[in-house]
Amino acid sequence: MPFISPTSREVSCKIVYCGPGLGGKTTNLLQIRDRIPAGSRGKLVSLATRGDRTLFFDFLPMDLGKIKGYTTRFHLYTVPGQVHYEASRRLILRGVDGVIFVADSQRDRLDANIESLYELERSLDRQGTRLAKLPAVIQYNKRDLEYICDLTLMERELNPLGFPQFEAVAIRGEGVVDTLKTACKGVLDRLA
Amino acid sequence: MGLDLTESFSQAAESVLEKLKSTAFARAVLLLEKDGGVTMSVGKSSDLDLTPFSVLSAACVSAGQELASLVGESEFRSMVHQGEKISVYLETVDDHAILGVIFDKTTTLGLVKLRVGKSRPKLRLILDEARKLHKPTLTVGTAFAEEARNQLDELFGG
Repeated sequence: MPFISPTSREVSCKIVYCGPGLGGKTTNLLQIRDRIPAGSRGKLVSLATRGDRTLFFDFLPMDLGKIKGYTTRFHLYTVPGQVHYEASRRLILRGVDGVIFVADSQRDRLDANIESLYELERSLDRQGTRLAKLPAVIQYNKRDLEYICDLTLMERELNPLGFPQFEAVAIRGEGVVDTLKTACKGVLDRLA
Repeated sequence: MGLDLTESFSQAAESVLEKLKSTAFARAVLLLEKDGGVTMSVGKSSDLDLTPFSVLSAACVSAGQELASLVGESEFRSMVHQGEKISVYLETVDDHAILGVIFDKTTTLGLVKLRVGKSRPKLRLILDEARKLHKPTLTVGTAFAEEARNQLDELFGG
């Protein structure tokens, strides 16, 4: 549930990027950082290993400014994709308001996508939240690569709930903003 | 995310933090949420980027919690990051809140711990009471949502 403080006139919403390891979650966040004016974003915090794999999380605060007197912020997080980081994932998903699932379109990553989606649902279940009840967006990333899954197949396997979906090439910034805007608007709709 | 403290609870908590800061000779004292939010801060924190500080403190405490369970402890209540000039002491207040103390060479870790130990029960009481009476605000109205949507479009250039 977004944090709304009538006392301090503040609204904060938390959006978490999930998905399999090396799928492009951090790349999404880096592209978003580069597309937001400096005054509207905070410091990008990245807890990564030396090999640039996300160890704990990445975090980017995004400021929408004052809206109807409320300072309005989105806090964007990524969680590590590797299955064995379940504990970190659970911690970051605490209090999540919206989810972006970044799927890797490469054929040999289909099983990893399915497993990651299952892990996400399990982590949410453990904190009493259902993915179906959250504003969520599926991003089919790496659409520029050669050996990729057919979109119909990915939709069938990864999006039975019919969430909004976007094709993306995150490394070039394609589809990145549309994905985030749709997730943010899904969260904002709940505040109306 | 977070607890919206009413004015009276906010003043009560702030006075505990102020007293802690002055008696521990700390630079700043912060009341943080375990999910990464900042509830309030007192002292010399104007040069500090509070948002990442709070998120990283919450992450440290969460990691400590997992470490504790690995060795069969229910929790590690406190942790310290000791620097050459500046140090940070973190201690959980309850299931939701963390107390953060930023201090330098003008004081000692022992004194900070001692003063936090005295302040913690008072803060717990205030936060317990505030949570009992807290009714979360769930909506801000359609006009807010509409303007926020427009603002979002503007942020990314339409």
